[in-house]
Amino acid sequence: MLFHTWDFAIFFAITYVVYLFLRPTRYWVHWFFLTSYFFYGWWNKWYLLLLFGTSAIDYLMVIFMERSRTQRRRLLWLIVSLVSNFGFLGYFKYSGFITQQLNALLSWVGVAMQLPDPIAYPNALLGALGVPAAHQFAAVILPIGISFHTFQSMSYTIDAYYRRIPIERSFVRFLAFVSFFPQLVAGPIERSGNLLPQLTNKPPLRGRDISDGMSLFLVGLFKKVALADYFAQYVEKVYAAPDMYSSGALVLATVAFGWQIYFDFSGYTDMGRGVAKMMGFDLMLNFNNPYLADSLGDFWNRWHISLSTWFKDYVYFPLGGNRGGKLFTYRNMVLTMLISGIWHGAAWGFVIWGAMHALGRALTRELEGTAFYRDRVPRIAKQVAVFAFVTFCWIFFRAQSTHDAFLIVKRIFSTGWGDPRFPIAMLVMILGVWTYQFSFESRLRPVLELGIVRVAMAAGMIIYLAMFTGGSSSAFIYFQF
Amino acid sequence: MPSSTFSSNALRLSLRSWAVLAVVLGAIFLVFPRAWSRAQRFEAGTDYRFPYETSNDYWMYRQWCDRAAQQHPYLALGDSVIWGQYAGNNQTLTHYLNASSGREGEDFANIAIDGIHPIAMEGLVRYYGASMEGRKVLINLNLLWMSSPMQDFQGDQEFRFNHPRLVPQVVGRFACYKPNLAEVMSVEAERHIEFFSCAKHINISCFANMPFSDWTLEHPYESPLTALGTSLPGTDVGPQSKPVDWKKRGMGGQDFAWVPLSESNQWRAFTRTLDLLREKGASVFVLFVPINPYLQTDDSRARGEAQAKDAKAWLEGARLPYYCADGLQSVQYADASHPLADGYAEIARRLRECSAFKEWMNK
Repeated sequence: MLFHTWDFAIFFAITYVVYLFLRPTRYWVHWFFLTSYFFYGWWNKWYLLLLFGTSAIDYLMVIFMERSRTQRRRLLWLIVSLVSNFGFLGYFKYSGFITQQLNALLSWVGVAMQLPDPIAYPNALLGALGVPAAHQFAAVILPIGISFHTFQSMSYTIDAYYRRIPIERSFVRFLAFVSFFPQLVAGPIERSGNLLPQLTNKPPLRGRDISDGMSLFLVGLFKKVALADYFAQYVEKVYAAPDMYSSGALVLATVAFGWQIYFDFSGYTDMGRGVAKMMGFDLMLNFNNPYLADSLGDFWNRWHISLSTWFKDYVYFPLGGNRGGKLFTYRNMVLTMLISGIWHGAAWGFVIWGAMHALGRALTRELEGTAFYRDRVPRIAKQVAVFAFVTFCWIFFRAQSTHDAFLIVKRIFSTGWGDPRFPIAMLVMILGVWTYQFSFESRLRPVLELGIVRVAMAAGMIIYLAMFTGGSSSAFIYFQF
Repeated sequence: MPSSTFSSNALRLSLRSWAVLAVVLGAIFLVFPRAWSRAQRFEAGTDYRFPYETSNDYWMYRQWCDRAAQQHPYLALGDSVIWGQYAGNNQTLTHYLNASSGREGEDFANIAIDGIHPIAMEGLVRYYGASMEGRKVLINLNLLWMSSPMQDFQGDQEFRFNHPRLVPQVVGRFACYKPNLAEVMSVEAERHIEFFSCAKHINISCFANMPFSDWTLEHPYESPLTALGTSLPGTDVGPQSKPVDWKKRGMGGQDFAWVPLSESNQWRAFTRTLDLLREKGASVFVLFVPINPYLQTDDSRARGEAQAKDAKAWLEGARLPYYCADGLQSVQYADASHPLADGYAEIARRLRECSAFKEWMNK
């Protein structure tokens, strides 16, 4: 169920009315659990088994941790939790890719043996239990948003292990925390320290929450339907056959993709946060005008903030952070970025994308610390440089294969500009949004915050959506992660 | 960790701002279609018929209906037979009716739409036919829409048909029509909020019947603002299809699987349309579209005639005047039901001689 569909509108209307009705009782958390499972099961009811299974294991492991008398025993339960989470994630998300690579390696070294498709393992078990082949699984299907809810659940066990958070006693509340539908499938990846207390102490619901939530939802809807889906049309056309296009189209499609993925993902987050806000819940900010960043470090403080901070807290710091000298700091930084790249998907393109960011971050960190860069280089030049680098990296993220990605890079530098047939309207929209964001971080901000300007902008968005975007319902890019 | 809700954009509206926005939008939704209607030059000259390429522009159709109802005492409503698929705009039934009247103020307006089957026609009259209220409406009954279970919307096998945006979307929806919720909601919005049908009209008339985004990709260097100033397509002067008779098309030996009226969805929709028109105070005259007897097998023709007999009996029971335009010569048919120009002239002449028709006109 996508936020920008009528299915969701009906679902939310019912959910909301019943939620308001149940707020005075103690059953409102149960309602969240039920509606969240319904929301997730809408895609595929079998996904629910996985969601419930990982949540139940994590809940139990934390209870076992609490009852453990020794630190060693606590660690054991943490390891069980991590192994189960990474096990599920690894099987569903990476097993196909790993099998493919290993088989290629085996062929390369001349070994005749090939590993079977990963679906063969559960099917062998089913076969042993007497399930006929017709009723066995056909392929490994990646459950939507598995990386998000697994990470959210895992953060709970890790925090509980380090005694950073109180232990959640209610199983239903814990299930509602992991499956909280406004952020279940594409984040923000909420920490238990933020969301569980809100699910414990019913958050107040004021008129301001409702109006704020509606505002966030409108902006998110506009970003997704009017901008991201529109830019996607040009990007898909060019990236589907990069050998047919020359430099101009490839450059502009890559720039358009940079904005598409930002509007797509931040639009989803805005809608999710808006939905949560309308019910009184505060979810963390996930994007903060990332294309205005003036350094790569700044970019990662503004882009997918909930994931960046997750990796910082659960990977970078445990690796030692910046405590072991420069060399260790860079090692930790590179490792964190590489893992972040792999988190996004099982493909070499994501690995290269993560490696490029790791390398870029490592190379520019020293430069950013110099007085010359800090004081003498104009901010706009830094912003343009960061945007150019980030956009260049997107090629490896978006291309259908690494072969395509390198072909695009090659053609960008080896062919003429050509006639890109890039729509003027799209260009105007990109420049308009950029100008808006620049203005928002400038002295013009008070003008943008005038009531009349806000109402005029909201009216413009609604009129545009009503007139020009009927019936769009394409999926969000980040669902695949 | 940033926790501020709104640090990435400024569009934060208070409840009061939302209320102001609702009023502003309400005003825009109300005023915009009227303003657009005035700003857009719509010229309907003699023998105007609704352009074929904009057949699904129901907002524009409503404008034409309003105009026709103001300027013509008689409205001819129907499918491509009335519209004139194989005829120029000066060879249609309404043209010949007007030409043969010889008197001022006895003229007919052609308010037919290509491909409008009875189920869609019911939707057209219900949602876009307000100006038919109190008018004299000649309506065509084309039994060919009941000549196969599929044409009659029987069964649950999905198929492509004309004017899906006019058929029932929620209550009374047919099993063979499976729109998604977004389609249902957008159709309902178009029917009940004029702004949306006007927006659809803009897409059709200014952006070549494409979504705006598709249009910009097709015309990357054209300004959408310029496109908004595109003038409306004029009426179709020439025939839409080549005007040759059915034999030259290689047709013949047709054996139609006629659906009995008692089971027919199209027939039920047609009777509901008649009720609807009468509820609106319209005076209705039913014209049986000629079904080409020469291209059917004997058995098919016999079953078709039996069906027509049942339909006449029903109309008589409902005290509705009608005329059955059969008996044309073979060469006057372009296909199973469309007459060629000669056929239209012949039907017009016979209608003028029909006492029921004269009585209806003079009533």
